[in-house]
Amino acid sequence: MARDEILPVLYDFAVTIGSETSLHPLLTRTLQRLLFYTSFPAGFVCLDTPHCAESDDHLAVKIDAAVGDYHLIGLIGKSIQLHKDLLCGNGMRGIERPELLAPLVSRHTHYRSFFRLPIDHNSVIVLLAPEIPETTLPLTLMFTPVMALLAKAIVLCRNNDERNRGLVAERNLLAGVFESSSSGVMLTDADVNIIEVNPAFTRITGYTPEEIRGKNPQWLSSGRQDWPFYQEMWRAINDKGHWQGEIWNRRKNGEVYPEWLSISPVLDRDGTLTNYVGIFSDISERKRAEEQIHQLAYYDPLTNLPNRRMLLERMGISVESGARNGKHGAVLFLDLDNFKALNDTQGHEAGDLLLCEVAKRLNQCVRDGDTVARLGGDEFVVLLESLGAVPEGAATQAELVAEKIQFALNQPYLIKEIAHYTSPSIGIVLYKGQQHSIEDLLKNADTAMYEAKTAGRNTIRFFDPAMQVALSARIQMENDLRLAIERKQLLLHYQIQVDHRMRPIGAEVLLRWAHPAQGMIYPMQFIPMAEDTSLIVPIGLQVLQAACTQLKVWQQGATNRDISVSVNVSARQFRQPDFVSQVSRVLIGSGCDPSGLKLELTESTVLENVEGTIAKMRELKQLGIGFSMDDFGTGYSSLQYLKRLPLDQIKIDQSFVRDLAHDANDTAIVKAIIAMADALTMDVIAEGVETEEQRDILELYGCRAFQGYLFGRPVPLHQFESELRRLSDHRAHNSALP
Amino acid sequence: MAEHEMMEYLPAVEAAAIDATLLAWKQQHPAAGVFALLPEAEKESVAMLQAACARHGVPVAGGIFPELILEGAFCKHGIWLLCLPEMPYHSLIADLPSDNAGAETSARKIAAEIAAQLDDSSNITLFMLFDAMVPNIGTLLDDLYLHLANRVHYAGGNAGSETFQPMPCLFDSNRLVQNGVLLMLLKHHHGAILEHGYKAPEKTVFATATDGNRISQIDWKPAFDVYRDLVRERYGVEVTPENFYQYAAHFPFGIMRANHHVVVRIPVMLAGDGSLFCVGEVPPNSLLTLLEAPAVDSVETMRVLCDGLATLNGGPVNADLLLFYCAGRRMHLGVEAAQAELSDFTSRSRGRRVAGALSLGEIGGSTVHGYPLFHNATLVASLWLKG
Repeated sequence: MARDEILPVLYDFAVTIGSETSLHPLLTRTLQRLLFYTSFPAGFVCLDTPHCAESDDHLAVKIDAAVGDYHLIGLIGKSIQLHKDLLCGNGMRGIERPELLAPLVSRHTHYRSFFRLPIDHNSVIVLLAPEIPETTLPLTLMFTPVMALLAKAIVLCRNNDERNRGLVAERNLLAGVFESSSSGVMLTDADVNIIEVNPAFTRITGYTPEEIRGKNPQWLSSGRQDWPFYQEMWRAINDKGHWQGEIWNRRKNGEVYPEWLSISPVLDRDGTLTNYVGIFSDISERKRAEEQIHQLAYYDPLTNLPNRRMLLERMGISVESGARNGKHGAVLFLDLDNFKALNDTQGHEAGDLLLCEVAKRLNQCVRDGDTVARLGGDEFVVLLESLGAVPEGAATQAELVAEKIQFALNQPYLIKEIAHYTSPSIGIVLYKGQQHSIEDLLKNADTAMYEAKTAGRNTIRFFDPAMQVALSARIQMENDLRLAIERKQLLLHYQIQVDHRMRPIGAEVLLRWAHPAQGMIYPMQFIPMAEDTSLIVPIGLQVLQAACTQLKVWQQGATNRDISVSVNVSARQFRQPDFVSQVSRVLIGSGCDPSGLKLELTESTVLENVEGTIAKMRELKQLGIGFSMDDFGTGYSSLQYLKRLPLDQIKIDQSFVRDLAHDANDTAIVKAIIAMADALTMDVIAEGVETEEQRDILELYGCRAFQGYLFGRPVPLHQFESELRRLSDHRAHNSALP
Repeated sequence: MAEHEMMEYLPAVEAAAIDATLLAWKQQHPAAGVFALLPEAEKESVAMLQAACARHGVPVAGGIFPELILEGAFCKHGIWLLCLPEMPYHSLIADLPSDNAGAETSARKIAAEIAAQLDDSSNITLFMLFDAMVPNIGTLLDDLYLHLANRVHYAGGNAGSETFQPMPCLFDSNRLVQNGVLLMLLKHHHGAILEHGYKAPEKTVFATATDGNRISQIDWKPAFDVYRDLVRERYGVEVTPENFYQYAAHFPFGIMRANHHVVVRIPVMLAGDGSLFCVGEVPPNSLLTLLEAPAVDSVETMRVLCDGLATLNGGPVNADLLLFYCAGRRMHLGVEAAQAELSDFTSRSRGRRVAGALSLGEIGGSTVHGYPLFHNATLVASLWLKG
């Protein structure tokens, strides 16, 4: 054997086989080297062949590798039926055996000879040639060790391929996760230099992998976190093996954004640090949503001022703070005067614009750190903190701020190019520490504001204990009044009205409250409250029903049938949408002649809604009712309106009558009123006439009807009727005199 | 136009003569193309040739070789113009990658382009001219064979300078490139036959530590030391980078094959670190035999070539021939012996014209349907196309 010829060949095979780590290249390169050395033009490999002892002549095998023949290469991976004599048995050269090679015929080459090299008991290499290449070498023996080496290499490569497939699948899975993750991922080396980032990183930060590789993540820092923050972060990473938290970074476009970042170190099997991995999500949207929720929960959407909830929180903090530092704070409770009128006349849009402007002005009146809140409607609260330890000083400061607010809010508001005016009623309560609950503080401020409003609006009032007592009394009275209505404690008194001949012509019905504990209570003490609480409506109806019932009684009698009854109607009662029908039902119910009923309206009632009032008065006039304007001359009486009102009578207010004898102005006014009524063909009656002198003057100027103590005080019915009888007797006596 | 004029040798590379030839071919074959062989001495004429071909609308491709073969002899001047009745698919690729991964990628790409041209309806030869300075021709051939297998025959040779200095040596109608390959698909062609007739001596030595076409150790000694001793022993002279090729041609490496054929690798350059460079690769990290002054059976070589041609083409052929003769072989045999081989081949060709060139490496198989191999020291013969 030509050892020197064989050894290089074997050496080359050993190197070729030993160089491959994957099955397909191993088989292909080995085949290629076999063809190179043997001069066979083509060959193939079949692994895992069926057992050759099977009875069938042909075996179904799969071509695992092929070289040199395009047709054969096309059969790789496919099953083919080949004769046992081609595949089974020891290594051999098959010369002129075209019948065995027929299934392998290709367009280009017709094989007639082959060289079989078994790799092991179920794998074989077959080289093909049209004409067997010459050789004197014992190829079968020569390649036996090569095939043994190849058999072991096949096992190793298969194992390696399987492992690699697993690794590749794992890597592909990880790569897929890395690539498709919606979270940004950055991988650094142990020196914290970025070595890889995923597409989400680029989407969030704007930096491409090429731009960011090699850089420290600090490249992304916004500067919002200080050095101790990062120190703590790295301490957690190195000590606990993990850190996560919110961090603000900067995008490539300069935008600073919040992200939720998680950082972990990566260790190899020996525990040596190799990398750090950072995973983060852009939480800008979440932050915005949180802010929006917070805004909705704690701020008034119209004015963007803190709402009640935020105010209560801040008051709580302020109260605690005051308890620590001993300083006073103040709560200013504001309500806008006449806001409802603006809303009703100009619409809610105008009202909203005004509220926004008020909010703006309020903010300009307070210091940073003070709170301006809107509770709803036209109610605002200003919270002033750290006003000082001395109560008087704190009160002075709070009052100064209130006055500043008062001035600011009194300035005209240009809403839709029209100037509007409003003013605040401001109630102030001081506090220090936790002497009162927050709810009480607000309630007290509200009470003070109410007092301010009661005092004439556009006013500032401090809350004090006396005020609280008054408030409590008022509340008690309100409750009592409700009971009074139920228990018929409200009584009618009648005050006589006479003509210039002292003849009774009518009576004004006046209300008295027979309080079980407090005795008789006069209207001035409870009517305003009844107005505020709307109790005036059922009270007014009760009065009207009683008056009409009495009127009917008199109309049915012989002596008083010409007596008219005047009933006061409050503005709130008159504005009831069904007031006309209420009156109509009362008239029908009582059966009285409506011409004997006179409703007394005040100027303010009439002028609040002139057109509506006129329409309603006309409807009532059609029922036969007369109208008297009460307290004439005390308001902004306008001839313009007066002449349009279907009035029957004007009542000269007692304030003009009181000084009639001594005050030239009052005299002039009274004369003017009488002249005007005459011109408008209205009757005139003067109230509050207490002296003969007053009566004479009034009569001198043309007044023919009077009411006052001179003629009779308001008295209960039985007294009133006695009075009527007395007057009747008096007249009869006088007429009987010669 | 007579048939034998499908090959035209012009002793002087002049525009007029080229014009005349192109004009005649163009008249006979309107779609004609030209395959041109130029000796290194005429390398400046490529642009003039391209311009002439452009004037006549004739596509051209070819290479620059150390010398040409004409009438059984070598010649340093003139030009061979070979007519292609219809210019076939051809592709000139420059700057082939030298790394294995790059070579695999290139081979896959080239194979895909070639495969797209094949219809498997006839015999087709993939004719390849490489720049001899490409270091991984064997790898590229192996990879091409894995993809194309027996769909084509393989033939070709290497162009370049016998000084083995880098030189643009491959061209088409527009470009002149280096470190590349010119590919042509010759239809109705049965490939080429290749033979060297080198006889391996009884006693060989081993070469070790190889990498591509670079051999750094022989018998675990620096390759240069072995060569220096061999040359001093046989010729009594000191080997230098300048005279290395002249002496190394007598000590080629042999890659032994089981059918007793030897694939020859002639070292052609001595590197500064004592490594030797061959044209064409040697198996990576493998053992090689060193053929110390191999005997050459010229008669047998000529017989194998001529019989092989007949076998390839299904019997005696009556067509012009294309022949590449290895420059290293001429160096080993000497000019006189080489001329004698050429003369013998020409006489065996029975009057058929033989066009060719002195090549720096050859591609083909020594048997019919053989595995394509990259050789040194061989003659490669094939039929040229009939008109």
